[in-house]
Amino acid sequence: MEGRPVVILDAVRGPSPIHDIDPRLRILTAAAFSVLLATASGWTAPALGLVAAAGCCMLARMPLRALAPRMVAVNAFAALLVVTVPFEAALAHRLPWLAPDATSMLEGLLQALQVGLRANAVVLGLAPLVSTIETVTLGHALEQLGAPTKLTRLLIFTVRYTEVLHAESLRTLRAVRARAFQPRLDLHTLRTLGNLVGMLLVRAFDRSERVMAAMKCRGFAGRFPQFHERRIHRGDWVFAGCAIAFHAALLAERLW
Amino acid sequence: MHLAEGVLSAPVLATGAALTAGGVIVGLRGMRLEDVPRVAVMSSAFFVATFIHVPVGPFSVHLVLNGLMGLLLGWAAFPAILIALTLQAVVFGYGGLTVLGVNTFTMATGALACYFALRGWATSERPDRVLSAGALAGAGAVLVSGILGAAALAASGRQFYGEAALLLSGHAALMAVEALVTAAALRFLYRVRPETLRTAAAVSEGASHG
Repeated sequence: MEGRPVVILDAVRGPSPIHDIDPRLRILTAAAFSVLLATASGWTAPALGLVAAAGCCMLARMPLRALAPRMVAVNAFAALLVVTVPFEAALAHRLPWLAPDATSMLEGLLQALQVGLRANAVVLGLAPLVSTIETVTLGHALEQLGAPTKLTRLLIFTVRYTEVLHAESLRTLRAVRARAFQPRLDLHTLRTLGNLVGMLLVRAFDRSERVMAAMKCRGFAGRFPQFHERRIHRGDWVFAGCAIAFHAALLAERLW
Repeated sequence: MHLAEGVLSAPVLATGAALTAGGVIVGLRGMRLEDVPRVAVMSSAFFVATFIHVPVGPFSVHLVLNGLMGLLLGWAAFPAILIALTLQAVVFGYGGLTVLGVNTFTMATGALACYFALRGWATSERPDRVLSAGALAGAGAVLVSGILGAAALAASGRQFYGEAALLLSGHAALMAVEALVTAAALRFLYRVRPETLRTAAAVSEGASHG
């Protein structure tokens, strides 16, 4: 029973106005957005960021199933902060055996909520900008932006092997389950998983040797051909203009 | 354990990014073109391992395997972990771009510590040493990464001490799981394909000679 190959590193598919924008431009925008918002303070910048991010998500037609897991993950972290920061804030001003006072706890709570808002804005903004770029295109775009060639090549190979290894791990897990394996917290489970990982590595190493040999046979000289030659079009300029204006406004708000 | 975006302070983020850049440069220098597929395989394995969950009471933890990566890759663990975390941030939105430096540094330093402390035992002829190296690497790498992650959080402000402590204590179960899985995986490699333990270390031999 092989079934359809499961592609796990799939980008969110278009078409959408965001998908049409040059990947390099999207990466740069995502970087600027992340840096400016992750280091922002106060409520205005994160709130503006969240609105802009939500707008981009709608433009990119991001499906909910792509957004939900990452929002859950970031909010789990934020929830822990909401629980712990108020107590820490209260303790900071008083001796630990005194009852925490309400004002500093409230202050801490607001602080934690601010961090949470910031985190949500960054994660939501990253999704439409970079999760819409196909991973191989991402490798090429990063290379054009000046990332070291070995690193981008590593990225492209990793994308490829991840699909292969994932399929293999699913196959192996299915095989052990067919033999009545049930994951529990015991030595047997952990040993089985260890063997599974070992087997995965052995097969993958062999595969990497074969792939390298095959590539050398075909005269691989360290570059991959690119199938989609991109030309900068009008949409790119419009997007770049909006992005620059937005980030300039964020900066102005901060310096004010 | 990734730290989330928007939490750490700017100096902590910048320090993490700079340290990671240094580690990645050292790692890439030691890699030849022929090593790229092998390192990519490890990077993928690290990535795929995060899909494998082990039940711990009502919760479940996923495998991390950075100790194993350290033993098999040495300095090349830096670029390999950077790529795996980048893909995780880009495709799934776990972690993020600004914390990429800090997250890579915490994970890769755990891996590298295992490499320097345990590579002798991991490539030993004696099965008991290989098994111990695996167990120590599995637990040690998680411990080092956990401590560094908690430190990054604590360095970002007094108000994060509570979360840092919670995060670190959450690593205890993961340490035990990683110790046993890494030991079993290393023993498997030792029995089935002992040369992988040595040829893989060769990637880093290149690194140490610049």
